[in-house]
Amino acid sequence: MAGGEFNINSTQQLAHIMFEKLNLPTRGKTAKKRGYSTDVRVLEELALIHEFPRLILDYRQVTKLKNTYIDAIPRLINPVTGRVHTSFNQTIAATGRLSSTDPNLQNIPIRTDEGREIRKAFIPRDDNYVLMAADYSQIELRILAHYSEDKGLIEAFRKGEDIHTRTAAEVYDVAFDRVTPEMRRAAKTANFAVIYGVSAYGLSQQTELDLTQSRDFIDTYFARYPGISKYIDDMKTFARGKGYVTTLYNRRRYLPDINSKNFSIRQFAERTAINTPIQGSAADIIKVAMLKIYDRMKKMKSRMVLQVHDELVFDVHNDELAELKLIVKDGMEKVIKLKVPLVADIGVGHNWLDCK
Amino acid sequence: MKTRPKRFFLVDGSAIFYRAYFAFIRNPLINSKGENTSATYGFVNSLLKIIREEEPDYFAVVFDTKEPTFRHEMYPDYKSTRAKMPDELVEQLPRIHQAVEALNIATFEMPGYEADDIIGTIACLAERRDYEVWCVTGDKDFFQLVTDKVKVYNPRKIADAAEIFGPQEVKDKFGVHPSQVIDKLSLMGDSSDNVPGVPGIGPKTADKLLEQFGSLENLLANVEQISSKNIREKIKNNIDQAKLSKKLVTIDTHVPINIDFDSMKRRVINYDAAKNLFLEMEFSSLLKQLSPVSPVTSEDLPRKETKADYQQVRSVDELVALLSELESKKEVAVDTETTSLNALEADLVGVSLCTKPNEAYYIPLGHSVDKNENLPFDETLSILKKFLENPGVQKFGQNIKYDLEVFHRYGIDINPVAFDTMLASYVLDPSGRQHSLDFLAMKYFDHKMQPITALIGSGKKQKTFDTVPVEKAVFYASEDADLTYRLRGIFAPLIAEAEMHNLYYNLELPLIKVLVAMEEAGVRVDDKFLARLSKEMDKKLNRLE
Repeated sequence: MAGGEFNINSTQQLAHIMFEKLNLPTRGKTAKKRGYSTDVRVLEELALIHEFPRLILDYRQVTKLKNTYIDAIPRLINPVTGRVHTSFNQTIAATGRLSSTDPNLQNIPIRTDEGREIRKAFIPRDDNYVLMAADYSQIELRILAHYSEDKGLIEAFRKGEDIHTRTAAEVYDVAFDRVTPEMRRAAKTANFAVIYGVSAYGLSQQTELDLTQSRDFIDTYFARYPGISKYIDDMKTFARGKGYVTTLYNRRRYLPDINSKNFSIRQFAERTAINTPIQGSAADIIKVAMLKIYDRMKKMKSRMVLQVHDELVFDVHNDELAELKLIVKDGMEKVIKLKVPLVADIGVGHNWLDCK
Repeated sequence: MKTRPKRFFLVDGSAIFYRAYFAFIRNPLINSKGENTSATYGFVNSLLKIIREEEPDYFAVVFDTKEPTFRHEMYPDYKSTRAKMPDELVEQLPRIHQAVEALNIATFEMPGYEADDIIGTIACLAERRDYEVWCVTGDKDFFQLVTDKVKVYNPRKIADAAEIFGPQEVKDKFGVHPSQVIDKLSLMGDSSDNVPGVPGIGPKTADKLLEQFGSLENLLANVEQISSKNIREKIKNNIDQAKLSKKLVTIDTHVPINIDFDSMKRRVINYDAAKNLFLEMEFSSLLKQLSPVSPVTSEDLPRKETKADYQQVRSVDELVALLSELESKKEVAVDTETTSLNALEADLVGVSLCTKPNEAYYIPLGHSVDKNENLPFDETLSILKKFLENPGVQKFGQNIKYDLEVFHRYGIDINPVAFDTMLASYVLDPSGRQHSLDFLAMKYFDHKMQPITALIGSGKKQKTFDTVPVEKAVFYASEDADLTYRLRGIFAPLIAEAEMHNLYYNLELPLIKVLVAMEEAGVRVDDKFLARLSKEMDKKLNRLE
């Protein structure tokens, strides 16, 4: 397809093939003007019009996963225990979350096939055990509902509705059962955009909506969820006044740039001000859950083995499965009383992926 | 050698140049270009005098900004009675900044806060580092910051000696103890800042009330006990106003500003820039002063010698005696030296303990050189086990998760884990990039620790700690325990102050043991499956190529 052999790891040769042989449109030269950029953004865009850049992207992703996980994990097996002893870092993430190394669990992709395959490799210690994964459902949006006291959001969670379908129904002003998958997708993107800092441009990039539609969508979104709009303003004001924001357990994150005269620097600080109480509180909550559960399983053979994102993974002895399930569900859901219920979904399987 | 504590001068820039301007108001200094140079002259003169006479180790000038502050938000009339800054003074502002730059002094300002708040914040931090702090200002509001270590330095007139206020001087001059300054100002008000106070209550009445009731809070809670009906009514009718005034006069000592002490170290004057500026301003007398001024830089000062007393434990008897003494102290910083960064594979080489700043002990156990210095392994560990598991002795560590795991390999469970300095540094500022002991020692004590590479080298040729001679290990390991102990003394009050007691002691600290259990448990992986997957991916990659 490339019209000849070439070294796939050479960006120069790659640029030569894409922009000179295949005549794909260019986007400007790299910083040092050595050649045309072949970074992820460029390739993502070109992948829409030609198959070749898509293949290059796949290649890069597969190589990355192979090097960092598939080939690396077996080398991490401790010769004495025969298991991998991930290291958990308590002092790295500015949000308050835990992180891990050897391997870094956070970066295993959740959505790609290869990422899922990697999860398949995590298994129970022997035949008497199974893996159990417990994942907080929509914890960040629940915390947002709690903080914002938005009536619509709170009601949706209390009724146990699918939150993105509900948002789509509200924003598009259609009945619940008339929400199309596209509508739900846009609503889902918008819900997360709020947590991570909303921009119409960002929304238009991630959905089928164009820029004007995205703007309308966001306007309608905030009109439907006035509590969220107020939450955003409140957090910015708080941060400007105090110089930091806090979480449910009074974790602090300082935001020295919140009063910066530079627009984009200040905007970044503002987004952090909105996001940190949510992400940081999610971190607080799962940490408290870990403490409670650990206390109640001290005499058990089963072990808590992994923590990643909003999920806990246990290596469970078959005899203890029923009991531990109750302990974990109860421990996670009863950490703190919020204005909406906390919900943990529990799955059991013969490997980590199976637990879904 | 005995060295004096570090001296930190914090100049209230706006107050000092205002005063300088008005000091010459009857007889202003005008240069040949018609420029009124009074404020700049007086300001620079004060700074040079401080450099010459006081030899600061740290020096910073703090300015107000034009932006409204949180006090204006609270009370729109705040400072509303102030006359506008005279034009002649406004014109001098760029000159002042030029001058500070030429003198090579660090400056701070922050929209939304007054210089008072920034100075208060820096002063508190400097005080925690045991520095002597001088707030250079003529503003009485600063009396509230005064402690044994924080003083107010009022430069006054050029020829006069500066007026210095410690706690006693504040009491003599202002009638109340520094801790009551805020309350007094809240009652009597402050016309220069348009702080209302309680109308009809002057300084004398305020003094009497505070003498009787101790504090404003107590006074407001017991308002009925005020004997004079007249005063009682005045206070009762203005409770909210007194509370508001208190908020207005209280200096905020928690301004969210990045404080880098290194950037405030006294630096050498930029002579060329200063000379040019003084020539242009026609400050001939200051020009003369310039040459003899030989600023002392921190680098020139003799390095603070560590009075550290680090000792090797040489026998089991010594160890037993030491531990029984340490047990009575109820708290100890613990550190391990091992053969690996991976705690689950690390062999114990030695243990260091500290229960008092600058005093620590090293117990050699597994050195492969100086083998005869090692204490008998099993016997020593069984003695240590009792000590490290004694619930009556609080254990502190730096990244104690590691030490917990190392000791678990020998059947010892450190308990109770009462403090982790790395975790404390993180909780206090989770955006901070570094929480290593070396970094924290430098940040909080200006102390450069001995790097591990000095003992075991680096890169491929790096040796393991067991090959380090015991004599050298004593210092290195003891220093770790010592600094951990001292940092705990800094962090514990900061955590309380930030209201993070619950987060730190009930959440993060106990979580360490949970993480230890998870790391030790580990998870099984299907390596055959991964090998197959690897081959499949190779095939896929080949296809892509």
